Amino acid sequence: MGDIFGTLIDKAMRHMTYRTYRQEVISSNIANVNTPGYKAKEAVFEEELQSRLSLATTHPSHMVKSPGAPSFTTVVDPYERIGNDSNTVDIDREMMKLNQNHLLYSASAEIVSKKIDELRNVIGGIR
Amino acid sequence: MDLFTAMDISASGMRAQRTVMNIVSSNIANARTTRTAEGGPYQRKNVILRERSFAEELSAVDVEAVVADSTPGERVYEPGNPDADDKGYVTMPNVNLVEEMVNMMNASRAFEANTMAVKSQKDMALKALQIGR
Amino acid sequence: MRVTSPDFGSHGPGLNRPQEGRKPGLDFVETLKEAVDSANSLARQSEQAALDLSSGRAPNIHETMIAMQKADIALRLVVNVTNKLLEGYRELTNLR
Repeated sequence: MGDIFGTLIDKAMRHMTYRTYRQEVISSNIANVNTPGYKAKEAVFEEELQSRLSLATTHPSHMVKSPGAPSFTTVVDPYERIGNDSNTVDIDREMMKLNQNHLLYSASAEIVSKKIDELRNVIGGIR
Repeated sequence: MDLFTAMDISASGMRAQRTVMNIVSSNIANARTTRTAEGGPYQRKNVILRERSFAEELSAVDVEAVVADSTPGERVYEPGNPDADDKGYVTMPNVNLVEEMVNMMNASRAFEANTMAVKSQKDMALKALQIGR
Repeated sequence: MRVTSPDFGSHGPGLNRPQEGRKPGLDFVETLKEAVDSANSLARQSEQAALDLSSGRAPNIHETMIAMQKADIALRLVVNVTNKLLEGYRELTNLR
């Protein structure tokens, strides 16, 4: 059975799910910018994790899994900064990541909206 | 389990930094308080922040404790001061104003950063609500 | 355990299935029925997604919105296809 929606919307949706998750991770870093001993985290895809074995998962057993979708988890941010009281959060970098992440989320939202519009035009209105 | 989770995390950050700012303000305000109700000079306070595990892999932040700093303060020769001891020395509060200003700036900056995180989360949610409209 | 996106993808109506050895009348009814069922199912999913969102159980707000938009499109498709099919049917039955 054919599907009128195709795969673009689902791909964009999964991208948005990743961006949402990453937003949570970045927010965790920002909340703990002054917490002694806190190690900055980053959200990564499982494949990336396996291809770069030097990354250390923060919770190896907690891999977010979804059938047919890439899974992601948090790792200790490899670009950590050594600061005082062994906190590794670089606030400027986190703010930059915040903006970039937001932008990419919005981009996918736009893609979905455009596709929905396209489909509506093709199908025509309810008469 | 989505942007609302992120908002909870950022809210904890704001709460924690606000506590830090209040305590630092108290330290600064009492930098010259040589006699407190309990007797003796004002003792500066420190805020201990601690990471709190949130939704498995994420982290919020909590104020674990506010502890008094028992480091003795400077002894200054001020014989005219009513709080001076019999040798004319007054023990000042152990508040270093420069250090407190730095702490205030850090807390203030951290507070702002958490606010911006919340704004970003809110905008993302609103953007999602616009899908298809 | 964290939950990522459920797969809303493959429930959209499709009308390009090859038909073999079926009577034209049954074909029409079958096609119509499947299209309506499909739209119905999507509408129910969309409603459930909206309810989950307002009760705080939805995994992600964008998934809810996308589910609702998909249901909307599927519904439009069904309505338009149904109209066209009925039009065609009436024309045929008038050719006596």
